[in-house]
Amino acid sequence: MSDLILPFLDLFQALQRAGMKLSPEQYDLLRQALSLGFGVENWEGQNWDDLRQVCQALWVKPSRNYDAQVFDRIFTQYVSQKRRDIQAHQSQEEKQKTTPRESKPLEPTRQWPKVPPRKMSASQPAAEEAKVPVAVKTGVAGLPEVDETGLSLTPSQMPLPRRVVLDSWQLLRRPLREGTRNELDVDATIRCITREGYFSDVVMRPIKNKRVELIVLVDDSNVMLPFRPALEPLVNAIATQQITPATLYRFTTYPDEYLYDWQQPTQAIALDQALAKMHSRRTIVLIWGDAGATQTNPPEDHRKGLMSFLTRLSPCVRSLIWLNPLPPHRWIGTLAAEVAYWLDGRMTDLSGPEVLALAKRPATNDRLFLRAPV
Amino acid sequence: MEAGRMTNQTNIDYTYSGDQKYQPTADGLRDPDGREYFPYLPEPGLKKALNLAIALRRPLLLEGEPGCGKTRVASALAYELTCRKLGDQHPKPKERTDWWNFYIWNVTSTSRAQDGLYTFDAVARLRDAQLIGSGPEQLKKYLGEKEVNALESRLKDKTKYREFGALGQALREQTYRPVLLIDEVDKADSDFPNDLLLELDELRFTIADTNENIGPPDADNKPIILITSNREKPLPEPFLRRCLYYYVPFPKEDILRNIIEARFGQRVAQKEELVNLALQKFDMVYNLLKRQPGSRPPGTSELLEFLTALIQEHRTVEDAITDLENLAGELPLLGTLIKTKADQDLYVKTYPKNSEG
Repeated sequence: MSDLILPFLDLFQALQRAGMKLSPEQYDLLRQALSLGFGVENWEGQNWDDLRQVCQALWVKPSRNYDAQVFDRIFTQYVSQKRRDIQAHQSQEEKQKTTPRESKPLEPTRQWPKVPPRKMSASQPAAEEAKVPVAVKTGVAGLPEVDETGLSLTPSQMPLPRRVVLDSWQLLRRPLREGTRNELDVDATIRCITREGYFSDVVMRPIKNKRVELIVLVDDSNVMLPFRPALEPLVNAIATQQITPATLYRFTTYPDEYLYDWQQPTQAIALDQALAKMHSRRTIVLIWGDAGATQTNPPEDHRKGLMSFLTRLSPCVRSLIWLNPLPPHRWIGTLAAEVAYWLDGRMTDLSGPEVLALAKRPATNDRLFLRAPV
Repeated sequence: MEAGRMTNQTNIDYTYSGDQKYQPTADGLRDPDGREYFPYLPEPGLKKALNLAIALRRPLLLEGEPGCGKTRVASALAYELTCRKLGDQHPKPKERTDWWNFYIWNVTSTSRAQDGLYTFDAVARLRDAQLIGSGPEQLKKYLGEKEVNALESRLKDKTKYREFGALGQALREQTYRPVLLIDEVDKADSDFPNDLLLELDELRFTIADTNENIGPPDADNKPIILITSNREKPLPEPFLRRCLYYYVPFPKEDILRNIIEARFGQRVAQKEELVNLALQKFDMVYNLLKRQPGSRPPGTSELLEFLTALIQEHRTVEDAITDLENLAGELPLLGTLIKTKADQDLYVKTYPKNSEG
């Protein structure tokens, strides 16, 4: 409690520096809480747990900008730093109090734990004899070192800049009337009254709402790796919740029985369960993959697997967009051209105008229909 | 007697303690609205976060695994405040004035922010106007004088057609801080939480149809707002910024035991062996499903159901223990803990009949 007017301001600032988007108002909440007596329970016993709980309740939220892990790390660092400071302060004070006549050489103020000097007895094998595998960082043999500074990507060079991603999301979130009829349709009621000459009943209609969720399926097979940076703006927009609600999943080559969690790729999610959660009037699926455009002769199971996946997916979603990072002329003669045909042209490469146009174009009757394969 | 029960309301201590003396009996209690109250043992962190939110007059957002008691804490708080209001006495189920003002807004997928504030029945007003317009004399013949007079006075007063929602009621004139629970806020439209920002921030709203301004309440009468979410979808940041947040963890075993004792009381006395075995089985199921992708491990509420099924009065402890030992063969009993066929099959496969123990 170094400063009584602005208590723990250094902690607050450390958290801000670590990336938590805390506002002055949130700092003020801590001041209020402290003045009401929260956070200092068992303070004399140098117990920081109460303060930790209070700060956590005030500042940690289920969002990347208020992350619990960042908070824990910074808070622990802060406490251990403070403990060291206090200890140093106390030992200095003690030294000043205790007998000044002992003019010993000054010990370091920090109290390091006393560890007995390590023995290197003859019984232990000499360092040369020990066969311990050692990882050494070396350059890749035979390849020239690349100067990475010239290769940095800036957001403006992305084929799909953030702005396009967000604009297409707004276009996709077209309001739709759906659900039970529980809104009064005044116009239709008035028409009804004029037609019948008296007021008999009201006309109801479903509420118009923008309830849309985005599901992004990302192909993480090796051929797609070089294109991954182009997906960054979308992933970021989802992570920062500019696009919400949205869920990212992974698949390899084509989705079969399982999809995989975006953050923990080892965690499988049964496709049936993922499909069951989708809402046929609200879910919009975006698939990021090459659709076989990198192979001229796709194995038959690839084609079949993709077809059966799309057939299972189509009744569960409102719309679908397939983002294929390969340019359209590379689709010709591959499975990608076929998939584009099934999807009735709802596959596009990474050109901004094309993506926007697709986002604007409603699927027929806001349902996804597949064209029969030729 | 009645005056003695009412204490002076100017200085109410709102601190939630979860003490034994503020717990309803193990069988539960119903308020005049039919809502049930059961004993509730708050987790210490939750208690602290709740008291912080009460003191700072901020909404508290609660997340956690389903069935770990997010929703129940609101009724526990309302019950404790009820007892305090009555001077540490328990309320009478039928006496409406005994009970603390406690409003619940159950959010559904079609909820709009305005529904929680008020609804205005324009259709009823249109109907009334039409009826009056069709000739008062004729109307008297069919409806009777009394009904027609009521209709007339109703038509003159627009406020007769508006009805307040849970949030709207909590912001109206109150003599103390009411408790408001906004349950499962993540179920609604993604714009829904953002539409509530002004109301949660300034605690006031306007009814356009009647030109009324409601709120803001005095500082001493601001509602205590609890919001729960099941994390089905992320909540927008401006909304999160205005709330305090607490993740309710799944209770540890000793707390589970206390919960069982508080909820079942006499009914589990002398049945320690059964409770131990049930907890052990519960633990097995919990750990099995926790590892399984896409499955949901059972929560506290499922455990309580499981125990209710085990300690029915007409059954002996021995029978129940036999059932427990052969849980894989007792699908109805297993069904209280595991709710899907796929997960039940998994359990039966992992712990086949007769090999348990």
